[in-house]
Formats: sequence, structure tokens, C-alpha cells
Amino acid sequence: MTASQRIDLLDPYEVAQLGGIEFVSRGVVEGFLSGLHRSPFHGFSVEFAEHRPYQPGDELRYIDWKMLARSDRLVVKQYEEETNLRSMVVLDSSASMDWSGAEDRLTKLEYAKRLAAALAHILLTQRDATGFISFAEEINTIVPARARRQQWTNLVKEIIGVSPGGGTAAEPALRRVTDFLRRRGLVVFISDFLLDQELVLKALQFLRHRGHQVVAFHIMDPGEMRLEGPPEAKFVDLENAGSVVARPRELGAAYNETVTQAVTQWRSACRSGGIAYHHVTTDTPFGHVLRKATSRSAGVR
Amino acid sequence: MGFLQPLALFGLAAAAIPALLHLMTRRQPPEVPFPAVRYIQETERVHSKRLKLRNLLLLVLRTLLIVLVILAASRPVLNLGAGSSHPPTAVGLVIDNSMSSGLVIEGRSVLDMMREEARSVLRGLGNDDRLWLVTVDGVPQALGRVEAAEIIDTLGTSWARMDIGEAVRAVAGAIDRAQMPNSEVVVLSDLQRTALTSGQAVSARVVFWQSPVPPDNHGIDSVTTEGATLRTGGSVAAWIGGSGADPIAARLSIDGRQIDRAVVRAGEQLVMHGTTGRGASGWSVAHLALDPDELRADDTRHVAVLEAPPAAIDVTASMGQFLDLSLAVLREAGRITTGSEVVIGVLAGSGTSLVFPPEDPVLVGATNRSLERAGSNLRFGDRVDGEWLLEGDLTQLRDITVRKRHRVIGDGEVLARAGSEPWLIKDGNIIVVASRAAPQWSDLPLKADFIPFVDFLINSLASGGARQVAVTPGNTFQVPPGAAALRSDSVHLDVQPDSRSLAPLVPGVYFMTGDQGDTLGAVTVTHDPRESRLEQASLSMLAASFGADIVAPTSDLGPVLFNGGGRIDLTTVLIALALVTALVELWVATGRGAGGKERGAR
Repeated sequence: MTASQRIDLLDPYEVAQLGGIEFVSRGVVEGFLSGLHRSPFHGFSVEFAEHRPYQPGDELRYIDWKMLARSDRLVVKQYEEETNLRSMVVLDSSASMDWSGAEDRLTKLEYAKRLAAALAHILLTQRDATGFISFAEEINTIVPARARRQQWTNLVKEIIGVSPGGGTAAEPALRRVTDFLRRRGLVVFISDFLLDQELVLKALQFLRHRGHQVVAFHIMDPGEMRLEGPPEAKFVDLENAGSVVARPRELGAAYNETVTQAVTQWRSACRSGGIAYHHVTTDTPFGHVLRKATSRSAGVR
Repeated sequence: MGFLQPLALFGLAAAAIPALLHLMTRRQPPEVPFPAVRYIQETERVHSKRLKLRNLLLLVLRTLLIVLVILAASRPVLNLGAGSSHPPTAVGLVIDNSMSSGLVIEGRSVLDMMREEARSVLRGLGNDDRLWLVTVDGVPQALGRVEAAEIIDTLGTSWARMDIGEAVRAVAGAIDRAQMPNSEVVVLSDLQRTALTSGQAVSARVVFWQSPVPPDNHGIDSVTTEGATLRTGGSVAAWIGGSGADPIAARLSIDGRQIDRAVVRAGEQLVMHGTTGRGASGWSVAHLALDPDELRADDTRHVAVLEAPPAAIDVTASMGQFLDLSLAVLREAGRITTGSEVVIGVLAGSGTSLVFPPEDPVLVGATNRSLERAGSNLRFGDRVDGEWLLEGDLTQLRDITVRKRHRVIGDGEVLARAGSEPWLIKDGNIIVVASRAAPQWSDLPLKADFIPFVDFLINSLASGGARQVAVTPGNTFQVPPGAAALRSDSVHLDVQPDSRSLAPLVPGVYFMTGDQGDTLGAVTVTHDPRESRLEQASLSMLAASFGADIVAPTSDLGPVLFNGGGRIDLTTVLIALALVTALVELWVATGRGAGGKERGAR
């Protein structure tokens, strides 16, 4: 499979046309992993299992240097990943997520669902216990974290069943995560971040204080990044029916500035709280997002 | 401060366009579902003041731009003070108060407009300037400002015609002789094409004030009675001149009684019929009037009519079949009867006689003896053959070729000539025709005008002897022998018989009377039909008439008087301001101005 054929690097909308969420997320993850040549996530508690001969592509840090000194052989240490990394994927399914700026783009929710499924698949592939919560004004779906074989099926079923609607109340959902992650774990928060910044940051920081690793995906449609439309339009909010009359031509530049500032604020607020923040637009191939999220600097591992 | 094109100021209403557009576009905008409304609200909260300021600034700039453009189009000028900024100048002021200056345009007469401009010119004169004033009489007068102002204030519309070409050349000559460093001729006129005569170019700078474009005008160019006498059942013919295709009503009245009416167009001939209704011979005044238009002076015209019975003729010898047939036609038409009032033949009678040469040259002696007996000094001389064109004022004799004629000896009133020699002569009550009424002698018997000519000979020349002279006001005319005075209801002027005399200045019919008070004829003073032609001269016609150093006619002399001195044209300044405003508007509208930060943030 060449890079151009890898499903994780294709346009998300084109990928979505290939099949259902399960198929797509599997394909994305397979492609992603084949390109990575290594396991992206490593649990906090791993135990040594055995040595095996070094193969090109293995990371150098897993070479057993002592063994090399003693026997002049290049071997790598293999670990048995434990299931005690527990992770929860928290997905925002509020009405604002059900929007796409163009016909040939996935809505933010559809994109987020596929991203959530892919992440869950990666985690489950590593035998990490993975759960799922979707929320809008209230928590809609809860799948407790499990590492069982059928967990993937359960998760995909629930992710597919997520439907958009209602306002956004992320804070209760994030606090509810602690009920399912009693030990230190991983929380993946996927939302368009059109919510109360203060409350959500508090909730995310609360999770951090509980020792959880937190990864936030800020999903935006490219159409939200810039203000376009008729010369004058009444822009109606999808969640609270609030509206504002604006002239995109007049306000466009200032709007760009506001969005950029908002993203910058989220990024700096998250980073200062030890939260990995990723700003993702719905035209970004899933592979790029996963690579970005699992890179060393992303702080996921 | 003044405006050269003040009508353009109405365009200032357009300054409301930006505000109106703003109001008109304040409709209910379409709804667009959008998730990130909070970002728009946040943007508006931060930028609303700046946006409102920018929009207000744009509205003001756009309104200002329109105002400046309209003001520039109205060509504002700033007056710097009368006579303060031009070198000493010899000014020739020509005021065309001819008949056409009575034209009314938009409720004001052209003369009133000219008077106002003339006062403005006077105000612009400095102490070192000299002024020559010319009005309709064409004579330049060197005047001071006060005297000129008095003349201008009392100046009225004249019935006379003004020759602008001659007037300008006359005043240009006068100011040339003054030998001042600068000279300028200011012409206030409606600039009729017909008032321009070509001639020598003038050396002075010539400036024209031109009246507004005149409307269509109808005028009576000429009125003639049948011959010179309106006999019972006669007619009056008139030519209607001017411009415009619309028909106009005409009414003919005699001695205040309307006798006919008709509808006529410019360029058409009008023939109206009627009688005086008096039932007795004598003179009357016919009055032809058109429906009034903007130029009233040419809408009426008078003509003298003489009501008389048909002339009674006695044909003593046959003058050939053509003359016999003509007489038969006239007799049948009631234009002549049989009697002894006028004798027609080769021999003169004791009274009024119309004498033709005899066919046989041998009989010329008998004819001459009869003329002697009748008291006339006219005689027939040799018969000569050749080819001559008849010349004279009689329209019936136009383009007539004569091949045979007798020389006519003796003094008399020559009515027509063949070459340089008399052909139709009147001596008292004897009228001599030098050729017989036969095709071998002349073309005349073969022409359509032959019968009218015979009618004229009998009814006007021979029987009546009454004269009608048409002359324009102020021009000279020939006073016939025996006439001692001109009189009308209100005028009595003594004249010298058989001399040239100045015609009265007011149009009307003036009867010529002899020493005994008998009426010999009438002088009809009428307007010059050229004054009815209101078409204005073009710049090229003016240049052809006066030379290249002329300034294009304008409705406001201010900026062009004294070579432009004394006023500043603000048009250029306003255009420059409008350009600057447009650039600022562009700067603000494209976001480099009030919205600069927004652009920079991208």
C-alpha cells in the first residue's frame, strides 16, 4: 500500500464513503499503524516479557544494551502491555457538532465519531480498557472501559448510535469520567469547544489532578474558520436559537482574528494545565490527526 | 461667489443617494444556520465601535464625493471684486435690442437678460477702462459708466433689425482708435444667424453673451393685397415664416372687422379672401394676426388696401390674340369692365392710356403724335432686335426675354428695363410698353404671369395710380411725386416729394397725401422678416464673421470678461477635492483606514 492509497491519509469525506464507521476506523488505524511501525500508545505499567532479535525499524531505546555488552548481540526487549491503562473517549454530540460548511465535508460530529472510533480501536488493539461517553446537554451514552474482545463491537455500536442535538454541558460528562477511571488513565475529549471555557477547563484540570492523561481534540469545520455568506445575513446559533446580523465582508477579517485568538487561548490554557490540545479541522485526514496526537511532543504517552 | 451652470445644483439632491441606499438595503437579511455564532458576537463586541465609525465615515465620504462632483459640475466662480484685477481696457459693449430681443424665454424677455448682463459688465469696469456702447442703431457712443447705465436702464425693444457684424466692426474700430493696451468687444445678443454679416475680422477680443436656446417661432414675413388694390371680392396673400411644424391660426381683419381666418404653417403662403364691406371705394387698413407666441412683434402685420370698382377699359385696336385673350379672361373674372377709364391700344387717349408700339413701323409716328397730344413727353424710337432680360421690381416680369422692342425716348418712372434701356415707363397717366404682346417680341405672352401682369397694368398702374411702399422701421424709401405728407391716426409727417425719406420707427400703415389732402398711396412700415428667424449662429459662423480671436458664446460672461480677470474658477479645486475624497473613500472601504487592524490580523 502506497502512501497515497493509505486510507488514513485520504480525505475524511472520501474515507467516509468507503464504508461504515467500524470499517473505516479499522482501515484508518491499520494504515496508520503500518506507517508508524510501532505501537503508538504505551501504558504506564508494562512488564518485560522476553528478548527478540533486533529488526530494522525497531526503536533504539528498546535495545537491551546490557545484553549487547555481554553477548555482542542486538536484541530488543519486548514488554507485555498490561490492561491497566484505562481510557475513556468523551464525545460532544451537541447540536453545534451537526454542521458542515460544505456538502463534500463530514459534519463535525461524523468526523468526531470516526476519530473516536479510530482512537478506541488503537487503544483496544493495545489491550487497553477503553470506554466511551457521549454528551450534549446531558450524558447520552456511557460505555464503561473494558479491554474485552467484544468491547470494540460495543463501542462501535454506541458510537454509530450517537445522534446530534441539544446544548453543550461538558463539565458533568467529564466529571463523570472519574467514576470509570478510578486509577490513572487516559481521557480523550472530542468537542467543537463551543462551550463554557472556564467550566470545561476546570473539569479537564480536575481530571489532570486526578492523575489522568488528558487529550483534547478541538474539532472545527473549515467554514467556521472564516466568515462567509451573503452580503448581510442573520447567523442563527444551532443550539440556543440566538442570532446575530452581520456583514461577512465587513466583519470577516475581525472574525478570523477572533477565531485565531480563541484557538490560541484554548491551546495555551490546555497546555498550561498539562492537557494535550489538538486543533483539528474536518478536512484533515485522520492519519494526520492520529500521528499528531500520538507524537512524543503531544504528551499522550 | 457664483455658478456658471446653476442648474447643475439641482443634482445636489443626489447627495441623498448613499443614505437612501443604506436605508433601502436595510431589509430582513436571510437566515444562515451557523454554529460559531459566539465568535461573531465576540467579534462584533470588540469591533462594533470601529465598524460603526468606519461605516459612518464611508457614508460621509460618499455623500461628500457626490456633493463635490455636483458642485464642480455647476462651475462655481469666486468674484474677486469689480474691476480690480484686469489692466486698463477699451470695452465695446454691443446690446442687440432689435425686434427679436422681445422674445420671452422662461418668463423673461431676452432684452431683460441682456440688460442684467450689461449691468454686470458695467460693474466689472475699472476706473481706467473706457466704454463704447452700441445699440440697434449701430452707432458707437463713448460713455461713462453712469451714462451707460442710464441708457441701459431705459433701453427698450426696437422694431428695427440690428446687423451684429456691422455693429461689432464699428465699435471695434472705435476702440482701436483709442489705442489702449487691451481691447474687448462684449456682444449681448440672441445671436441670430440672420443678424451676422461677414466682413473684415476685428482685432479686439470679442466675447459673446448668448441668450438661451429660442423656441420655435412663427412670424408674418410679408402681406400683399391683390396687386396694390383690394377690389371687391379680392384677396390678401401672406407668407408665414419662422420655424416649427405646428400649425397656427391666422385672422384677417379690415378696419377692426374680422373678415377671414385660416390655419397655416411656417413656410406656407396664406391667401385670405374678403371685402371691406363698406360698399364704397377708398382706403382701409387690413390687419393680419397670428396666434401669439413667445415673440409677439412678428405676429401681426398691417397692409393698406384700396377698395375700388373694376377698371373700365376701351381697347382701341387689337393688340394680338394673347392680349385679347387675357382681357377676355379678366373681363370674365370681373376684374375689368368696358368703359373709357383706361384706353388700351397703339394710340394714347385723352385720359389714362396703356400704349403699345404698332406692328407696322410706319405707324410709330402716329403713335408718337397721340402721346404728344396726351401731354406725355414719351416717344417711341427705333425698333431694335436682340435679346435682353427684363430687370425691375415687378415679379411678373422676372426671367422674361425680350427680342424686339422700340427704344423709348423721354422721362418717366421706369418700372422695368430691357438691358439698360427703359421697357416699361410711366409718365403721369400714360404707360408705355416697349414691346408688343406677341411671342415674336418677348416671352411674356407665353408665361403664366402674363395675365397677372396685364391685370396689374390695368388695375394698379393705369386705373388707380395708387402706390404702396413697404419699408422696415428707420430705413429710407422713395417718396413719390406729389406726396407732401405721411399720416396715420396719430402721426403726421411732412415729406419732400420725389425724394428719399426716413420711414417711421413704429410699424403700421401711413398714407401718403398730396397738397390737397388727396391720398396718393400708402407706406407700410413692417418688421424685417429676418428678425423672425431665431436660429442662433454657430461658433464657426461667428469666427468666420469676426476672426479667430473670439470667445465661444456663453450664458455667463463673468469668467471670460477682461480675459478672465476678476474671477477664480473653483471647478478645478473641487475636482481635486473630489479625487482626494474618492481616494480616502477607497482607502477606508478597502479596510486600510478605519478597519486597518482587521486586515492586518489576517
